[in-house]
Amino acid sequence: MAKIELVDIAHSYDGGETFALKKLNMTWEDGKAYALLGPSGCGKTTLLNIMSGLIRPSEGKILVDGVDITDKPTEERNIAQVFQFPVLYDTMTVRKNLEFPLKNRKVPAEKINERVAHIADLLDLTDDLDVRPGKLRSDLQQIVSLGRGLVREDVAAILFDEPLTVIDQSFKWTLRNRLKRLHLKTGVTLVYVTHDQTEALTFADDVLLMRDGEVVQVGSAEDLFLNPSHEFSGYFIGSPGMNFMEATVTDGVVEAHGVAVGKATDSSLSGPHRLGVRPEFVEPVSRGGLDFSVTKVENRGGFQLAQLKLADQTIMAKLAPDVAIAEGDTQQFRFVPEKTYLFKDERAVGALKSTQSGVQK
Amino acid sequence: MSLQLRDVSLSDQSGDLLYNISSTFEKGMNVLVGPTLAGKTTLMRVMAGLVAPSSGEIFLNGEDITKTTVRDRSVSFVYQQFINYPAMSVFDNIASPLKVSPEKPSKEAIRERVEELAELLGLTPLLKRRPSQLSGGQQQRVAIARALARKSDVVLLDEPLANLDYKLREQLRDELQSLFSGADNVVIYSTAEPAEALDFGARTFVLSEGRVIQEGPALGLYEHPSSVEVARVLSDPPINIVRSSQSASGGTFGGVSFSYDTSASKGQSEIHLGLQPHRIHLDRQDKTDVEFTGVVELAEVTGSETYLHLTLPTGEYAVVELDGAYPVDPDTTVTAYFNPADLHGFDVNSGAALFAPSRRGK
Repeated sequence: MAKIELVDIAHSYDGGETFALKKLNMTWEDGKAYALLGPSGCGKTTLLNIMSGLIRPSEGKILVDGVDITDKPTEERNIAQVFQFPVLYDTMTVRKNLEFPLKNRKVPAEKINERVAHIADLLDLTDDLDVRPGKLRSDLQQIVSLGRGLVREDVAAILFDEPLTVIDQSFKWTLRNRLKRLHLKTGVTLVYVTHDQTEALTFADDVLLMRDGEVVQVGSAEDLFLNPSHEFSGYFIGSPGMNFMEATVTDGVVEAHGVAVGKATDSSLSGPHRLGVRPEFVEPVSRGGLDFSVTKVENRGGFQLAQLKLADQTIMAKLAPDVAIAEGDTQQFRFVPEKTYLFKDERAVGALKSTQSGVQK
Repeated sequence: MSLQLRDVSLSDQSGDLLYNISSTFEKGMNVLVGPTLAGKTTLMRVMAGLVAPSSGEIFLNGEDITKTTVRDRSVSFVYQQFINYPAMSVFDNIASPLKVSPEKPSKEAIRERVEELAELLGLTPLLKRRPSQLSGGQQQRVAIARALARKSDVVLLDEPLANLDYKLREQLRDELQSLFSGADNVVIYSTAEPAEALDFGARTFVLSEGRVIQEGPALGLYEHPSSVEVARVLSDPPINIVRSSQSASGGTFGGVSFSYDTSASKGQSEIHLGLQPHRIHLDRQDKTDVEFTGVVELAEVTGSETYLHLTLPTGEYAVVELDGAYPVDPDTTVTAYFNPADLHGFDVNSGAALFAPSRRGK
């Protein structure tokens, strides 16, 4: 168990012309679960590979408990990595696969048996120890890969590179559940790379949302959803993402498409902004709201998605399956105050103030 | 325009791959949904003419094309792993099927068609680039544009978005939907993801272990699955399935007895009850709600939703989907509620549906 620090880490694949990872300082607290989330090309895998030692960063250093390990090769770091595809020896049994990293390090046989039994127990693999991995379901193969990473006693962190990519939808739920429980049991630091928001949000204590080589926001799932500090958090988190509208603030009043939608929390705000509201916070009201025309309603099973129009702006509202709404209707909605944000240069600078307008249905 | 399969089966040395598939795919969007290894790609390869069925016939607009080779079928195929010619520009990639087509269109006609497709798929500013200079989503759009170039009668899209970012997938799904909503050709889109099938809301075919087990509009299948397998294929989070003892006046759920009309259980002493995770609540919504308890194994908070993974007193597992954040500690016992009107019933042995929720989300 250890504290891992990244100090002024940056990486360029082209000798400094462009940076796949821009300067980053980050401390990974011992025992926490982290996710690196972002679209492809955002630098998340580069960051992961720097931590595991597969890539030497062009700038900065990595410290584990204060010791500089930047120049240490992968095998000398006590950091394990689980890849997209299970990496296992199919000519060996699960047991032999688990023993392998220890045998390589010349651990005494007794100790090996003890560790393998412990890990098998932890991962519910005891019954599968004498079969070949190829005979197991893909999710169990990933569990075995994980076991290989965990079997060493001195593991400071386990890094996962999109480990659910090849796993069937229905098993993703159980595998994620197992990973999470394992984390609670072992307390080992986990860092998980994914472009799937649900995976990242459900897995991690803290999510690092990345874009273009930069960490845009770090926070819990709830933070990223409820308090996006950046437009990109609004866009990337949530499905569908946040609705954005051009808005102008004049004397504290926020106006979008010529319609006053509320007051700003910060009276010093003035001029053009972008207004962001999540589809979950476009709320039907019986009076005091804004008139929208309903242009489309889709029942997606667990929820309804309504397309609404305010002047020439189209926005989405996510509604419970039993809310009465029909295409062609004109209905009143409000933007839930304090959850509707004002952005300037992509950064959240304020929100709509809670004034009692609009009566919830 | 329609593609009709009559009793199509396929087997090879490894065993049976497709069983007696008799389905008709009409013009416009059709969705083929099923888990990995259900046979989606195999079925598409048979439709394309890349593999001949072991038995059965395939008709395109009433004409038997079973023996027509892939070359002579008017079919386009887009694979999960997008394939483009790396040495050609985006323009030449899209134009390539036109250049070799038997119709031998003029240069001018090719340019027009390529420009039209580029416009449709947002590729106009990228026509001079090489595929390697594009993002994954742009590359897949090029592959889709190439597949559409020849205006084939049948367009097969085999999990075309599976390798893309979540957000990009959302965006391309919307684009494909508007692209194909009024299509004259038969478009067949395969996916392993329930949300994707529900999102398209098109005519949907559920594939499981080489069989089409139910077909119809996506929402209809979600609400009225003909079997527990269909319910599973279309639910994410997975539908909760628990054993239930049945009596004349009610049944059990997770160790709790409650009364409801059991006439649909056909006198069976035990059935499986199905309950969608979002139909379980932590507070009573109605006086007819049934109260039960579970021990929280794990609470997953996504910000907008919380998934509670519960162990029921019977040892069975259930997942609850709640709006908002409920960070409940593991090992906490929670009281939860469901309404009998939201239950599905399935035969324990055959998995066939006995009843569906009587209360529908409006």
